[in-house]
Amino acid sequence: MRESLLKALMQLFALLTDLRQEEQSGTAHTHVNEYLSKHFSREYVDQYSKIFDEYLNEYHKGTLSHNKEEQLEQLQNNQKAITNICEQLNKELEKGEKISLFIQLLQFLRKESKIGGEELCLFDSLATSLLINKEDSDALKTFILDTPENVENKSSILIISGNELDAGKGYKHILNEKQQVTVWFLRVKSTDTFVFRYSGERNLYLNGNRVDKNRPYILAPGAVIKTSLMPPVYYGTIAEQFLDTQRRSRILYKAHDVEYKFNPTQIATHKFSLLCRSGQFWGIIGGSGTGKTTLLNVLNGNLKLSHGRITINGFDLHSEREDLEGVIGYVPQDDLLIEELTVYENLYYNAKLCFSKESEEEINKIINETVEDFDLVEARDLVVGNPLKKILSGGQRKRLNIALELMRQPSVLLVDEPTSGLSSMDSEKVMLLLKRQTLKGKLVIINIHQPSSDLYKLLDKLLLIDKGGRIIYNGNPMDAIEYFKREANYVNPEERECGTCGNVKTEQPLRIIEARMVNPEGKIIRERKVKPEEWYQKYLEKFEKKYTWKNNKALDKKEKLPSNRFRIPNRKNQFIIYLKRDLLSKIKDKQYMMLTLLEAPALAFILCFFTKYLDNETYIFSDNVNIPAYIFMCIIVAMFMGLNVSAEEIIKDKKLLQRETFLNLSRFSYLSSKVTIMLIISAIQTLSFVLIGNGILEIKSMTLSYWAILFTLSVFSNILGLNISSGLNSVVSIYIIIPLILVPQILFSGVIVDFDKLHKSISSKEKVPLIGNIMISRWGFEALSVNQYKNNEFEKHFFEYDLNLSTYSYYYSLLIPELERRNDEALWHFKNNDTARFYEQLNILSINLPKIELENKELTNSLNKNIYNSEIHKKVAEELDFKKTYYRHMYFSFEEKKDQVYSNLVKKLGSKEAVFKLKQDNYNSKLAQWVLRKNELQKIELFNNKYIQKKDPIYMPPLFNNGGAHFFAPYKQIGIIKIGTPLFNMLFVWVFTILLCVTLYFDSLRRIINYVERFKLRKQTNRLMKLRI
Amino acid sequence: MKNFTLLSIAIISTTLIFSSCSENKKTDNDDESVISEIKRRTVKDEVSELVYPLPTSFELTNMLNEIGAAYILSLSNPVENAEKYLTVNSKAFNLGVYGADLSYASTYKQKQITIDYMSASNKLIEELGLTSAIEDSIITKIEANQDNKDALINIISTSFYDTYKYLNKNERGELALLILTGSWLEGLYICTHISEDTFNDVNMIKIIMNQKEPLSKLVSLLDQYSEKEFVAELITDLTDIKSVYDTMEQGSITAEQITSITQKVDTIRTKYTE
Repeated sequence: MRESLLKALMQLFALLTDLRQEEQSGTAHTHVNEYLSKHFSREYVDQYSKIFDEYLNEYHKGTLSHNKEEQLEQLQNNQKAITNICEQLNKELEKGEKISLFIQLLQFLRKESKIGGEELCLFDSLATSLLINKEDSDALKTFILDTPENVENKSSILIISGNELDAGKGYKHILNEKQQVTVWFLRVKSTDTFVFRYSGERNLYLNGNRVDKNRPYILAPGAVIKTSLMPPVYYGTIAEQFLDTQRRSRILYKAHDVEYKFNPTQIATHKFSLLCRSGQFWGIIGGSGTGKTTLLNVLNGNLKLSHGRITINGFDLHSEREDLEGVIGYVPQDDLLIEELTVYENLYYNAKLCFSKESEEEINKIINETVEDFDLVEARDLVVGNPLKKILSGGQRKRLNIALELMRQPSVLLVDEPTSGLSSMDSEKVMLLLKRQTLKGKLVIINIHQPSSDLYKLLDKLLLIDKGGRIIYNGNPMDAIEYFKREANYVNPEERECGTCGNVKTEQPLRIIEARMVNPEGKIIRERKVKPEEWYQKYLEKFEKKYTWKNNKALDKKEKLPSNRFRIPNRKNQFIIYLKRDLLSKIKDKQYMMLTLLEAPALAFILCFFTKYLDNETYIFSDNVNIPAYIFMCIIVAMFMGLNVSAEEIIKDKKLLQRETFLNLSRFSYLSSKVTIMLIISAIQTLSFVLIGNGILEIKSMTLSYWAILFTLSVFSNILGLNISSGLNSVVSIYIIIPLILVPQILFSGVIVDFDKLHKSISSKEKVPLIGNIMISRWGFEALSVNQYKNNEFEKHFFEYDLNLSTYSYYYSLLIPELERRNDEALWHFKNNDTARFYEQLNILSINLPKIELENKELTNSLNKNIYNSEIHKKVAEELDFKKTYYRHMYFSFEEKKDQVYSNLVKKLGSKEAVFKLKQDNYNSKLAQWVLRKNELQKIELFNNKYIQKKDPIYMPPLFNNGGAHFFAPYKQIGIIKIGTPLFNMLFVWVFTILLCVTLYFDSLRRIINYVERFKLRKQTNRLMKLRI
Repeated sequence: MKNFTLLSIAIISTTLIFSSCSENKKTDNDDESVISEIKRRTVKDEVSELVYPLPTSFELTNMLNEIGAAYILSLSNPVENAEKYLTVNSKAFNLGVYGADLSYASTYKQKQITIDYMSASNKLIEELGLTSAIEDSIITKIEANQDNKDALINIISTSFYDTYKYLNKNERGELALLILTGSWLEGLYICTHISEDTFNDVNMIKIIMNQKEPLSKLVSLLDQYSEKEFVAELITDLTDIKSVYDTMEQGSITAEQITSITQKVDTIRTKYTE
């Protein structure tokens, strides 16, 4: 106790002493001495006794005089003195301490046989100056100076007696029939303190120390009152009685023979049973690695039980989950905060997700209440920040985490290590906060590690857990100390706390549990004295077996659950809330915004600046040899940016997601909001990229189509990234996967490696091989290249004609000459009776002739080896020649038409120079080289006896009706419908994207990984089991 | 949001599909008219010249070389112009022009310029669809024989003959003639512009004089195709030059005539090579 406080106490004692009485009885002095000697050493007793005397003389100088005026003056002075002292005390003492002081003074007064009017007067002013609630001070006065029965507010009185009649008098009553004492409890409303006094024939013990009759004592948390023939009365029991049970209905949490296994051979939590009620504060204590968090997750329903049942008010936790919506709250050890938002904003969005039916003002009210309750007022508008760059302190973060969960007032609250990493001040704040919840009627279960003595005493019930998830104790915390000391054969096991200071050695149980053996040389070895299995056995015998409630069917009856305002919004509103929240947190992160928005333009600039090929001073688009490279880089940049932006998205929300599945919030809404944000970012990025890139390189009038294709690719990468983000466990592994995805895309995009030049087994001469078809980069590159070549302002006039020209030219100058040759060779081999080669030529002819569409259709049939002769040969030659001429003439006619288009264009634009300029600005020669495969010498190729056109791929129609085609095909054909390549490719990528959305929703990647891991684990355990046998 | 995007894409794709469907219908109708034309033409073109009717421009440039005239690059049609020719006729004509420039460069052993002109010619050959007329490896061959003038001349001349033959065989006789014309005109142009004192060199004058016959032959050959607009115009232009030659007396030529010819050649050449 501080000196100033002690002095003040002496002063107050002095002020309240009736001097006249004192002179007669001397009781005040005795009392003061008693008080001092109880708490202090001899020196102090003497010292302060003297101080008391001094004050006594000072304050009561005028009492002995007969001058009324003097007496009045003294009274006034004393009153003033009291006010002064109280002012000071108000500054220094907390409410609880003031009540304690108040009670001390009342006890002091009580000792006087008669209390003078003056003293009472002073006392009243004392009560007012100390700012003690009038109701409470009156109640205390009556309770202590008078009798408890005369207290006005009967509901704040509890009586424990053996007399049944006491029940009906309006107090709270606990009946113990054999009891021979009566104990009275008063609840001081303003501080929730309990004061008690007893009367009766027997001795009463408070925490092992004897209690005086009719003397008021404060019942501190963790205290226990014992007397003969009365079961121990714990603080918690008393508190429970005073619970405000009218407002909410009660909660009955029952766990019956619950067991949880990680996998069939490994038990995580051994069988145990539990019965909890609302208003109880449960603590789980255990060494490290004993399975506390697992146990908590078992209790909150996150983990599926392998045996047993958990019910809340009769509703099964797993099978009747919907009925229990909103009842359980769980605060895990890690942060669930959104770092970029302020405390208020975190609470706001959480509230929006929990209270869909409340209005904005209501929600604001709830948030403000929460902020006050959790002592976060100063931090209200501070950004949360991350653990590395702290803005909020550890304690504030913890409180905010709990506040988020508590905001919706769950009736059962489970908190994992609420005090870890916090200072003792903060720990106390958090624990008191949780204690207040229990006083409001909630059931709170926490994991706690190394609680201090005071915090330990706050707990009502304790679960001790040992290695392997074995519960080894279930009961009162103070009794636990005794239990283990007894089991360990300690001397004096009943001593649970220090007699003087009340300090509990909370580490004792754990120390006893984990005590190691000592080897003959005196060294401590690893082996424990008592194994976990043994403790567990003891637990089963001494606790589990004695749970009579396990067979009580009445406890299984379904009871109404407490109502709460928890209503999750519908999917659409969830989507909007998620969207707003995510956008806000992104916008607030300035660095992120800058990087994301500037990434694309910067890349575009770098890309184009170095590929703008400048010869002389004027830039001619047509001559820029880097355009195909630019197009390729566009694709890669779009995919890369898409992956990067989305890679971390889901994984950084991982904990939030866990919490939100707990609340039954819709994963679909969450994913939709993420996808929407990705779409917005992709759109902005690709647009800025295209605008700058196409601008610098002067690609005219194709901005929209470029943007559409790049946007498609970017979105695909986004969704792919989201899939990965959702399926993998760490950020690092995601970033490692990105190159693994991009490198094949780069390699097989059709740019680096020619699809024709791959290994036989994976390439196909007639169309793009499968390896190319699964690369989205190839679809993108083909789309952009074909688009750029075919649809530019110059070529679009001529494309149709060029296509026909190319086709006819192929026929008459390449294909037909080949077939003519084969025909001649067939005859030659036929004449020389070289049957093998003859059949070969004939075969080739018959396969390829149908492509020519001969007038004489039956001629193809006569290519039978039995019928063929020189006459057939002649007929075939004639037909081929005729067809050749026909194609040639078609070629000429198209040439004319093309020239006509050209002259029309000249007329329209005014001059030949204008047309030439149009070509220079829009038609790129290097790209033409690519799409026309000008560098390839092989214009026609024989593959599997079929002739395949190799020249001018961009003018070659696709060979298949199912959408498959060669690289750079101008359009794809499905059935009879022709779809231009840029559009087709884009649609194809969208289909892929939607497919990925589906896998995202079902979290397919994670499931595959889990399946593989389980498969491996199963094989491993099978192997182990075989070894064991 | 996604639904909207999908819907818009669906709408766009359907419109595109229908537009592409309708386009194809147009081309089918033309086939029939072409087939009827084929019957006509095969009769006419049976008799076609497969022999190169004129001396190649090599003869001209060789003559220049022997008389000691210099090599002036700026006289030749610039290689960059190859991009400009967008109609079939202009491509054919200028292919001839480049042929002459090619001969000029190779005669004077201008290695890089020879290759440049070969590339330009190749480009036009591709665009005209004549790649099958000449050997694939012609550029490689030229590169390999850069130092061997005779071999070069041989290779290039062969390509001229092959092209001419091919075009005639494939009923593209008029293109062959256009190439021929271009080649001849360019040769004459180089001759008339190569030096200021052309008049003083007897040999030069002789060369110019001797172009009378080739010109007449050219005009008469072109007559076959006079119904074509381009050809008709060309005939008119050539006849203009021919008229000057017609006023020429046997074995002599006046300064004015030479000047006149020079001017006309200049105008016509500029017109067609622009």
